[in-house]
Amino acid sequence: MKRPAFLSSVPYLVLGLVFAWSFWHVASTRRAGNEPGKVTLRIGHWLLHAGMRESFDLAIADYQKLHPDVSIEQIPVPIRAYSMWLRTRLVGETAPDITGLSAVGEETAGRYYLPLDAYLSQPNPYNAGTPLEGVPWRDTFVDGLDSVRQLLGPISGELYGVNLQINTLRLFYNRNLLRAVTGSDTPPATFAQLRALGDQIAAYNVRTGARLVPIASCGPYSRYLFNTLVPSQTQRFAVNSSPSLNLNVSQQDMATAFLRGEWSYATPAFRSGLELMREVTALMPPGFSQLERDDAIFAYLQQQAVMFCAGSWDYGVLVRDGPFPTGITSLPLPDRQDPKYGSFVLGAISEAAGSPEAILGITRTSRHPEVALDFLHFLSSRRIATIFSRESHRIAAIVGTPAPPDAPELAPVLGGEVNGFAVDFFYLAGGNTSRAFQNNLHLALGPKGDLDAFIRAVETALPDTLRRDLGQMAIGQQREIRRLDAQLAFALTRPDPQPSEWSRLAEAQSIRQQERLPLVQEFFP
Amino acid sequence: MTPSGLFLIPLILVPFVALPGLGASTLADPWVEARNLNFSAAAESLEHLHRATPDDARVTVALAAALLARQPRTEGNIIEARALLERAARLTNAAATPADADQRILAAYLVARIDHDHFETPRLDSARSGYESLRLAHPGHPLADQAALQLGYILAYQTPGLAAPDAVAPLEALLASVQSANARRELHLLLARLHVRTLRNDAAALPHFQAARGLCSLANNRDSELDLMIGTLAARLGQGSLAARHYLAFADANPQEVRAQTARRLAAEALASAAPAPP
Repeated sequence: MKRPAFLSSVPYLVLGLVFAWSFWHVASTRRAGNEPGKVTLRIGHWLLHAGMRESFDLAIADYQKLHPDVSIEQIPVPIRAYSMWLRTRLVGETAPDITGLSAVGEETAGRYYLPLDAYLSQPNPYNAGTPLEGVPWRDTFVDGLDSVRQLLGPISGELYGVNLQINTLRLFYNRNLLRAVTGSDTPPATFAQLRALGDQIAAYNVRTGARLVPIASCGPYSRYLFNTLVPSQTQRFAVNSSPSLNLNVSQQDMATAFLRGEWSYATPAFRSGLELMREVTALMPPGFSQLERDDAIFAYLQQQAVMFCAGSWDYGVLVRDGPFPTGITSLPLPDRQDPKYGSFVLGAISEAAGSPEAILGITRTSRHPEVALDFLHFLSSRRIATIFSRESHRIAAIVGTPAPPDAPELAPVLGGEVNGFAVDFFYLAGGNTSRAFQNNLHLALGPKGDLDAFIRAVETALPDTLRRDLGQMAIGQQREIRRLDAQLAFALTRPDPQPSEWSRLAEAQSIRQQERLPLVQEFFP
Repeated sequence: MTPSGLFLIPLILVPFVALPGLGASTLADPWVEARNLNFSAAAESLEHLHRATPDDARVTVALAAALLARQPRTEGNIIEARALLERAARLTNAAATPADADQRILAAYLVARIDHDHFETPRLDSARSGYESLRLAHPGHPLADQAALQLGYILAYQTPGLAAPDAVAPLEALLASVQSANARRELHLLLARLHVRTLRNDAAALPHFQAARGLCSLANNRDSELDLMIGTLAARLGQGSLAARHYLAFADANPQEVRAQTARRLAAEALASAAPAPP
């Protein structure tokens, strides 16, 4: 039977209509973004945590009042999709004018973002009338933007973004539950007190039939916790044994010392760190490493846990959604008097600059970079930083900005000794050693955990994984060395050659060569 | 094609009609593109420039540099870059200026760098010979000094059979022969590292660290790191006041750094150890 002719046209008609609709949609969006006489600025970020979008809205409204000819649109993107979203937008040259810089390396930053160095020595005009009036923009940030520079431009030395906030790790606690368990809402101040609190909670559970967990946790947050606790045990060791003589132990230094057999998990400071880690996991729910952030927050908000170890970025949601008062304290680390862990400790640790958060940069494809820069100035002014701090309950990166009124404890502790280093190789290129560490961790944890079994299992895998990771690191270093040859040549072939730029690049190349060549000579001859 | 298939024609054509800008290509400033690390765009522009002025050494060298860094990285690009550079190094021009001479020296230097670091299997003999020729032909030129530094790396780390103690004297000879601050600083640091890490000779390393610190660095915070290294070594060697001076230099330059308080404490301890014991 022959079908009517019009039926065979239906798919094409549908396709044509869909195409026409999408064409109209794209065109109308572009038209809306290009109102005559009005500048439209877009800002894309992943900062969906409680209070952040609201803070951006307040700042945008304030800015638009000052500049009625500018319209600013906020594009919040969930963090899980952010990295892919950003990369697609950058490559497609459709990125917003300002974006958050998350999981962006130097190569991407250099290629897609405007360097901001030229503006850093000028004051931020929006600080007029405040104690920061006339202060160079750079110096209005608590660490002079050093950590962002180190993160995004370690070789070039360029600055591609500014951070609005800084993060700290804190122990949040349910005041009501703590009082019910201990009769007081005073949180533990040392690790010994935290351990004792764990015992008190266990006794409370037996007494009342409750099933309280001392600390709500999850895979990623437990790593933050371990990487603060364990370094308390390598603190003295780092200062006394730093192979680079700089009170620090780099991932490369640690990996090579392990491969040479100079250090191992039997090294007393390292073993003590692992023991400490094992002990703290007894305070967490079973299977914590399989849980996600939302699970941990849920457990705390549902009052199934007395405490929650998390970043300052999460305080906003605890305040907003918790039907109970939340207290904040620094993570209780072993002190020098601790009978078990004290001998490896130097003292309370410094959090001086915190870790940079909410890093924003201007994309090279921005059609209004001057307006974007002005808005960045505005966002990083003392007045707006204060609004962000108050609304988002986070710590501003701007000098002298008051801590959130309800959470002064979130502010970084400025005095203190340098912390030690973690022993899980989390930041070693390649990730093979870190995976071996994580995959065997279950052997050490829990009531039946066996630290020796864990050490045996990890150290069996280490020679191979460390070699693979160091090989990966050497490849990365070589890529940078090669790229720097090209950059050096461009610096000397410019119509206006700049010897200082050449010297800076030559030095950057030498730094990489001095890192890579001894590594290759010793392990990959 | 069926009549209904004609619907497809506008679908195919519309993008080209609606987005005419897509087809047009404008050549960007290659030096700006290279600064933005967009070496593919830089290479594209430079290929046009090179076709128009094949004897311009500056353009030839820049094109070769772009080929070295453009992605995807291919052996073919590296071989082509090397050939371009070899030709640029030989270019002679009746109206050559000192700037042209500099470009030829740069081309020769880059040929040696390619042999040293850009092929999957380094051509070390060829690289060594290239660096040495450059040093002989242009003594005192900053790139000849840079070639000396590269020779230092080959000596220290890439010469099989040469024991670390035997590398010290030739490295010191290289150091004595260079003038540029960058090459001097890095050769001092190379020697310092060799003494500290391989030969375990802190006393021999310390003066090299101090000399490197005296040749101010342009890299972010590197001078401060050197202060810590000198402080630590000096403390180990019992030179308390020297250690204290450098620990304090670090802390003063980085008051917000997490190591600042530790550095101040170590400075106080170093000073106390340096003070004469009470009678």
